[in-house]
Amino acid sequence: MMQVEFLSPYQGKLSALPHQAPLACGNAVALAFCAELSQHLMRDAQYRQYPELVALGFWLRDASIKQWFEMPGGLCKPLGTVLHITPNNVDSMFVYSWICALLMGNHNIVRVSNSDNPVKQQLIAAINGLLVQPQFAELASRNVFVSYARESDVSARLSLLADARVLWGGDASVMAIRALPAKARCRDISFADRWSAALIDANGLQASQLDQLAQALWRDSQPHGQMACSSPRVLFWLGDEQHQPALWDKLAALAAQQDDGLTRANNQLVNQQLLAATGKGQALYRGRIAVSRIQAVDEQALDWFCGDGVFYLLPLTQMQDITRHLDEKIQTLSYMGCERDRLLDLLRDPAVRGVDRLVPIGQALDFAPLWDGYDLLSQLCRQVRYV
Amino acid sequence: MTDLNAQIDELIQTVPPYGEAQVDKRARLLPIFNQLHQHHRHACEDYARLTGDVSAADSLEALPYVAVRLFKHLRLQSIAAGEVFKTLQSSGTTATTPATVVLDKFTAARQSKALVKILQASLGNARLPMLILDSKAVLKDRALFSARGAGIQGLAMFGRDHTYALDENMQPDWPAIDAFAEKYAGQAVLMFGFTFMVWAHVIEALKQANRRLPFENAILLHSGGWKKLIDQQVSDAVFQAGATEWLGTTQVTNFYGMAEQVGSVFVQCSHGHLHTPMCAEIIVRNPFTLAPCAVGETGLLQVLSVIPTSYPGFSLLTEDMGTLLGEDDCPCGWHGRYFSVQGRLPKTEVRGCSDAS
Repeated sequence: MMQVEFLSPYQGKLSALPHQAPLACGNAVALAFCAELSQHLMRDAQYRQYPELVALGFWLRDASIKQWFEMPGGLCKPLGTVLHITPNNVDSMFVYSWICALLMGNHNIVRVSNSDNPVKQQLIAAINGLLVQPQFAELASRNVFVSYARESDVSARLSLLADARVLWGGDASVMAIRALPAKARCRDISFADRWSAALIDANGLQASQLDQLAQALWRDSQPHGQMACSSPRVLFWLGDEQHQPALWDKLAALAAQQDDGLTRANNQLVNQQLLAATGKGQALYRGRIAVSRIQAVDEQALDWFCGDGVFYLLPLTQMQDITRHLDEKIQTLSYMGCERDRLLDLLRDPAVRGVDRLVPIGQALDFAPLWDGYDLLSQLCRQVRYV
Repeated sequence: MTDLNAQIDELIQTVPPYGEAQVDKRARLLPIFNQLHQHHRHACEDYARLTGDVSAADSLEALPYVAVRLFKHLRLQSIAAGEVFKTLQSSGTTATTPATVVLDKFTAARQSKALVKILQASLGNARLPMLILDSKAVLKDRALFSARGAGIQGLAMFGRDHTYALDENMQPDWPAIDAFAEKYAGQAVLMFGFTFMVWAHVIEALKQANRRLPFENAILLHSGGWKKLIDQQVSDAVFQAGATEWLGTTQVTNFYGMAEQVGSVFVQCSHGHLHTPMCAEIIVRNPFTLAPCAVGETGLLQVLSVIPTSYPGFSLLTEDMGTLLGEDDCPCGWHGRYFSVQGRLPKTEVRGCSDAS
């Protein structure tokens, strides 16, 4: 027997879930659910301490959905059943892909890790609170949140039910799931290991702009302990370095406004000592944040990244030098002080294999259905071409 | 280097483990640590890059320290490849990657000498019959050979007629235990084991079988993490009571030590406090600022030891939390600093999007 814990009000067998009658792409119940969840997350004071949940609530507002929810071309039909494998620590990201699948009318099985992360627990409690309401009964019978041990064979069994698998996790976890047999037409949407960077063009940067820059950077770095793929790990710095010390102080002051974890200082020390010992980086600043100067983006240095206020500073002498650091694993490049179109021109070079998102600093975590190079809405439906 | 080796050896041989007042001890240790820093700077490129150009420190607090987790990621060594005598791997019962510690024969020999000197202060000089509360398989299986095996080997020299109480499945080896118990019933014996194994595999097993060991005067020496015991709500006092009832101990002595600094162990005194011996020092650092803490404060433990010359591990910032309890004034009469250990930092290695478990 499967050792599965049901976290949602779903009543029934998992194997029966695919046989529920399909809902339509853009169905009204799913839209109403989004609106309710939005109000709940934004109105209830208990979520204020979790900026990632408030941001989710904001993203789910009617006005916001109208902006990003655009039905793909052709006649759209749901795929069927979507299996979501969610990451362990970055606790609320999976909701975005689940919402996309939900709006496209799919049935969903969402595997949530066993860790008792408070953000995730709050989120699942909020979702369940809505699913038990009679007006969402259609969703409650078609969406299930489950938890089970990674070593069990449950992922293998669930894979056989799936018409699409949305896989969050590191390369190894993603490959492990992809190795499991699935239906011949099953689609895999893989969010594997990625890293992100910010580009600061400091030519013309004024001291008066530093507060705004620090706040925007911290907005991208604070959620999820800076461990989300989209949070900047590397800061490309173009030109004049005179404002750096002031920027570090401002970032450290912002970081100090939140509770400090017992492990933070030691993790930062380990990070800076590993970089220094191997000659990969030199510690520039250590306070509430830890900045090291690096010469190149190095796989091992990225692997040693531990979040929570760690930044790798990589100075550039001219903007086009950035392209050689943009490997295929870089996801988001956020920018400040430079023109987007100049960067776009650089990214057009076929030799640049990375960057799936180019956004201003401060918007690195703002989710859009076009994510990691996929358009989730069109990926999570079947488009019928008609002539 | 030969001069430094001689100085360290002399310190270990001649200075009584807890005989020197704190001020004198620090005055003796500081120049040695400064020389160790210079030695490792010249001998280990990684260490030199890590510490930068630090000139002589004017206090032990000002010496550089290496985060102990570095030994899990890097092979840090201060000797040529041909001088490697042994490579020690930390067991890492719950952790993922083991630490690697490179020893030459000088460092290895010094570890044994220091251990003998320090433990004799607690155990006396007599070599007692010894019951090892572990499985012999830990030594036999080369793949398993680890800090656990090295610990058993290191401690074995304090006893004779070594008997292993557990079989290869970590179950009580009753015939071996019975034979040992019959031979030495009513006599003084020495027992050694790792804290969690002693509790889970020996004391619990004896309790279940309702069999008390028949010794009049047994000494139990134990070491290792408390994490799993704290999870089971077994405190030091509960542990001691269990040992007294089921093992027949009159003395239960815990010591704190680690694979990254073998030899300089911190032994519990008759008042239950862990003490710093002649060749080692403890500094408690604030976990948020890493600044040194005063007596009574809790923080991360930094351990200093004069022993390691083959790897740059003479000053390590551990991931253990502890409290500095005092200096020179423990009611047990031992000099130097004494402290307590509260346990590991919570979950020290973090992963992000890339972790689905």
